[in-house]
Amino acid sequence: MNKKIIQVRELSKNFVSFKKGEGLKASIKDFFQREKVLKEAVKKVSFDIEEGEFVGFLGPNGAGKTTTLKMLTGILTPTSGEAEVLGFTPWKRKLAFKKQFSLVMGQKNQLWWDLPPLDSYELFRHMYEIPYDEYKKSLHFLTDLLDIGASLETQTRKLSLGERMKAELIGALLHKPKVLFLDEPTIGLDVVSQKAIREFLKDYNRETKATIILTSHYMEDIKRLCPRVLIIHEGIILYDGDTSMLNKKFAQNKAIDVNFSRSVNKKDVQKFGEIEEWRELGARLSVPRAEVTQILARLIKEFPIDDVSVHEKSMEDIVSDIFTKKNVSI
Amino acid sequence: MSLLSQTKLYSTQAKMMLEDVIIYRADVISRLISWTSRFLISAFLWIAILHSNENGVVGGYDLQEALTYFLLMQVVTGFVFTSSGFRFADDIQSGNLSGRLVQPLYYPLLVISTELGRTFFYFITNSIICVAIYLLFRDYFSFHLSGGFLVLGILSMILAFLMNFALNSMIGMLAFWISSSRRLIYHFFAIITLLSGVLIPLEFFPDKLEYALRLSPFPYIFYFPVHMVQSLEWSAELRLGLALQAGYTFLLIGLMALQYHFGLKKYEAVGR
Amino acid sequence: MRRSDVKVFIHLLKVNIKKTLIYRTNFWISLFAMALWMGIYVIFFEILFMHIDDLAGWSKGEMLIFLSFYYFVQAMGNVLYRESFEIFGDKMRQGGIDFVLTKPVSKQILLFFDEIRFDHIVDFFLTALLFVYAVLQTGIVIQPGLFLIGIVLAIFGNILFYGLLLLIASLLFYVDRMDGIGSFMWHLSQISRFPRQIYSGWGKWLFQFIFPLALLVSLPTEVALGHIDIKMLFYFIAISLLFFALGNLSFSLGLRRYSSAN
Repeated sequence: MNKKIIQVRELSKNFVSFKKGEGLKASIKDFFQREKVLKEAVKKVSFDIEEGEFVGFLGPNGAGKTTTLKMLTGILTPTSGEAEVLGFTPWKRKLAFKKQFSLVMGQKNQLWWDLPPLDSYELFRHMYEIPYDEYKKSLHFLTDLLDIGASLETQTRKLSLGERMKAELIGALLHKPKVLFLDEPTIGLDVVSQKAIREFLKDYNRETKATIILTSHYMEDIKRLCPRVLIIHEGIILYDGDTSMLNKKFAQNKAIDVNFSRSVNKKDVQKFGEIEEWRELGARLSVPRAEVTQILARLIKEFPIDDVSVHEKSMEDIVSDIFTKKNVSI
Repeated sequence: MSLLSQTKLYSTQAKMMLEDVIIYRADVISRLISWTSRFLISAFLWIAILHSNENGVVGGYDLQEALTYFLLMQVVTGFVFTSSGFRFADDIQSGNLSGRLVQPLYYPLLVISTELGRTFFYFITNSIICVAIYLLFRDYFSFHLSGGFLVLGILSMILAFLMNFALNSMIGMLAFWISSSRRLIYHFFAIITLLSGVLIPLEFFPDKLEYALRLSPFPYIFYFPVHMVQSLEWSAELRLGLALQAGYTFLLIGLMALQYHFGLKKYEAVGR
Repeated sequence: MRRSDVKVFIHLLKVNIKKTLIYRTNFWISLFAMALWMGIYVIFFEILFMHIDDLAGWSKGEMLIFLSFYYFVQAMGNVLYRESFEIFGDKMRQGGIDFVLTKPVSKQILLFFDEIRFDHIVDFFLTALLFVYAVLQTGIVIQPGLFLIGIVLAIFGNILFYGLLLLIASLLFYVDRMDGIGSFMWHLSQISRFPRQIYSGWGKWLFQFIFPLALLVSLPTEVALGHIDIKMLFYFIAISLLFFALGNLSFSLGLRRYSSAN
């Protein structure tokens, strides 16, 4: 078993905002007397991450994944709870801690906008006190892996989104961090760029054994990169385990696809399960996992069936069901 | 769109801007402190200036007249000040103007209604501060306000606001053609700070320069409304001043509309 | 300050010089803007002194020298940190300081010295011209030694102002929005635009001792002109360092309250 790099115990974060009433009268009233609104963004989450793991954080907007990430990187101080990353308490922002991790945010950039990325890398070299030879070696290694040589001499603002993200990743990895936090790194990228970034991260994790924590909306990111996933929703961790076990854990139902040789009555088919899709000569039914065989036999007996297939629900559908609390055991 | 609908649209915009201005208390308080400090600095400066002459009169102003002038200037600047130039420049440069062009409205009217929302708030709060200062230090001021001149003063302030709005907007609209129009607005502020009586009353200028200035639009932005409020006599000078102010207002508004028309052609041609 | 902080600062100087060379028109715009504002106030004092002989004991020549020191102090701020402070509010609202908090470098260097405006170097040139004009106009003899001490005190003036700006910037951690912060800072700086002697009564206590902005330019100019008040001198140095320390403390405390952005 590998060393525990990240340990989180009952971490919580609340935000206070103020209600804003509608209309001018309410605005004047609010000026003198405001009503507080408390938002519990993260509620007592606990988990451990071992060295070299590639863990996905999945959740809809406002779930608490970025807030959790920000607490683990020391940007935010939690309301309560404890956490240790590389043996440090993140929000104490110790220098020695900052030199060992990196953060990349898909929706923000930290490279200088009006200058080429190479200028920003020089700045990072001084920041992280990277010896020159080591810096050159890292730069060469990362540039090759990401295949982005010439673009590094172009002003950041003139790079495409895909190139900019690659340049951001290089900047984040020059000092060889032990832990890499990625907040939606593929957001807004085209399919080709997304694939390239994923391939790079996979190779990087394998070659350097860096621990990577990735938050994303895209199921493809999680499926392809993260053997382990934490699903967070409304500040609570709903699932922490193997990505491949999501089906077994959450999907109470399976999908049966049938094609009929002639028209049948929809009401008759409805008796066998929830109709997810209805076609002129076919249907997709959602049936309880334990009853699949039984229902299949009855369908074949009672209807003129041309073709039938059984599948697990897609991960997208499962996750969507989790967030809408539909047909899932939480 | 009917006149009623248009009125509702633009007045709603003004109301929304007013709400936006008062939504953040720290914002309001910091601005109040800024304006108050501005008057305080003027007051201390002019007390020192007036004390430097044995007879206590400088440029034809005694201490009370000077402090009254700057207190009224505080109220007038609260009403007349506008940042419309920045709005135009930012929306043109960023391309946000495109979103407005597809809506059933006339963009300059939208900007002016936004500014009116801000102006209303600044005018009220500035006035409250000035009334408070007057009540606390009554002996330092000499107001001679009459109903008639107060009304004319308000009319003059409205014209001044429109003039300032037009000038500001015209500089901001240079963004249709150049990229640094925003910074030119600060240059404009510098010029009117001196030439419109904000820093020093026009009477202090050498005679020929004062005469030339009074023919330009600048004094009618800040100096003239202050002068109107404090007037005792409906003199020929006042009548001419008001006429000039009205004339400049209509001319500048017309020029602004024309510039917008040509600027839009350029904007569409560039395809932002 | 660590060695890495110094290296980062030097690198920031280099990248900002590069940026200045890319946007060359900013240089000319800054030159024109500064010349215009400087010209406005020179004209103001020229007009004023047509009607008075002195302003709170300062002659016209001394006022013009005061003005040159004012712009010298302002120029230092304009070059080094003013732009960074002005955009700090927006940066904070948009979560732009997240990355700064994760970097192993002084946060203040990354936040307040990343937008070094070398186009404002012209301000020093114009200030020097104004100083020469003032000296030639009035025939005042400035002793080089005292002038240099005045320059050093002007640097202390910047330290005081920087500390005050940190205090104001720290407020942003406690409030939702303060768009007027740039205007607020500018208005406060106007307190130092005139000699401290104009502030009488409670104004003297407020602007010389509680918020000692009236000393920012006055003390350096008085020393350069040979009017030395030793007690005020030591007080000025001490209060500059105190405000710098207070600013740093309040900023550190404020950072603990930082709540980022979505």
